Amino acid sequence: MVAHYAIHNEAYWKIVLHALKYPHLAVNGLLVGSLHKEGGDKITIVDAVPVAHGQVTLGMVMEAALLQTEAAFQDKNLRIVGYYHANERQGDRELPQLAKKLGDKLGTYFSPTCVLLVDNMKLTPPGDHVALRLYTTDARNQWRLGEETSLSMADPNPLGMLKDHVAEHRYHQLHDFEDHLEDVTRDWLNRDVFT
Amino acid sequence: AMSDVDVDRQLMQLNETPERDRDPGVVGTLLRRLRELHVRRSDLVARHGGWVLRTHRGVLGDEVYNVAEQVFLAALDIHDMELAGECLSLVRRTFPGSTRVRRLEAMQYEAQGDWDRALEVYSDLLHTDETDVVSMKRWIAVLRAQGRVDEAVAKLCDYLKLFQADLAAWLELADMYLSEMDYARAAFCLEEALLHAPHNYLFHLKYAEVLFTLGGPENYRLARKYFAQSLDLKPKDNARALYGLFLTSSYGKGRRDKEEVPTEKILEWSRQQLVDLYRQKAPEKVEIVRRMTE
Repeated sequence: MVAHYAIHNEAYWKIVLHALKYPHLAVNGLLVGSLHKEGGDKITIVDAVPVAHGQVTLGMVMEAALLQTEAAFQDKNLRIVGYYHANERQGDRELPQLAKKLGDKLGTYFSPTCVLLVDNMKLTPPGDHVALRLYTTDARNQWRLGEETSLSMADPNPLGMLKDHVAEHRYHQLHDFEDHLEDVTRDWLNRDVFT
Repeated sequence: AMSDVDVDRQLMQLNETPERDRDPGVVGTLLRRLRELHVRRSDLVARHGGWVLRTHRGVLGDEVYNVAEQVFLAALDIHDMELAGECLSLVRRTFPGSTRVRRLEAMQYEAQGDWDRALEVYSDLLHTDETDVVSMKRWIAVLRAQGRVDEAVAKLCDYLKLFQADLAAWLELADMYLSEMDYARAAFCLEEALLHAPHNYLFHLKYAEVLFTLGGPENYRLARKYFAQSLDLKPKDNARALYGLFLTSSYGKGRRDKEEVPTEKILEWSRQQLVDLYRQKAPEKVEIVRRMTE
């Protein structure tokens, strides 16, 4: 049975705002959520942790972010269920090597891990379409683009409210783990971004 | 002189200030500082620079052309083609046919995705003057924007054979190699950068991170030295180097190297430094850091 992924608004918004904050760079991060088995695997993506921008292929920041994300969410019975990535170039829809590598790594801790690739073309303008492409591994552990029905939005009105967030330049208030390392007072959990 | 953080803050404040209360002279000063710092805040530059050019141009005096160029580039960056066009017209009126203006026109083609036209201009400019390094670099940027990374790398390598002391070029090449996950070549470029700027804490940090990513006991050992060096150069608020020290030490646990400080000692020290830093600046996260380091 094919796994189904549902993503909550705040997680989706964080991913998009992260990409919009650094429009000329690749960005990446982690997906946090939980798994239910009800006639197949149902994964709910509750939150997204933005990790890096620019030189996303360097390993140390992701390593530190992974460890801290696990530590931060373990009390709430939430785990790292996937990885997200936005390519540097607008028209680039290819799943990069880094995403596959990190997806594989996360897959050793949680299955079925997913990779969400931001569809940059659908961010111009943001808020007209859901700008995500879901990838999962097949029986031979190769990363494949999932069916459109495998990913759904868990909450109502994700796009309308996103338009508001973008109009208010809310990406200025979003901090990724790299931003946090520059100044630890910046909250990489982004708990107050949408309040 | 104002730091980029201060300029940023003031420009963000201007966002909240009604137009009639804004001081165009102040905006001019902030824009000048941004030009000096080479900081990329295109949304703010386009917004406030555009406002000054459109409504208080006289205040800028001789700087008007520099500001127009600056706002032009910012407008291209955020894809405000109308504003870009206005700025270009301003400069073109006074300096028709100049090399600098032709380059701006080429960049406008770039922003429109018209790569062929852009390359035509750069090719022409280089034909006229083969030492036009700005056009050379724009050509490389176009290749990169098109996803032709291998060609961009080749051209940049050719450039560096002629201009070995161009620090920014070494960093750009390192960035290209990193985007291709070619860590070994990225390391080489960063070694060149370090030769030219041995006191830059960021370069030590970057180099350490490339070594970390390459992995293996020897690279962790070497990375640890560079993280330590980065901390030496910037001891305060260098969380990135502390994490680097901590992580490389946890991977190096149990190895004994007679001349060096035992990794257990560095592990404990970096752990304590991190906990102290968070206790002081982000106490709500101390628990997470503690858990991570256990």
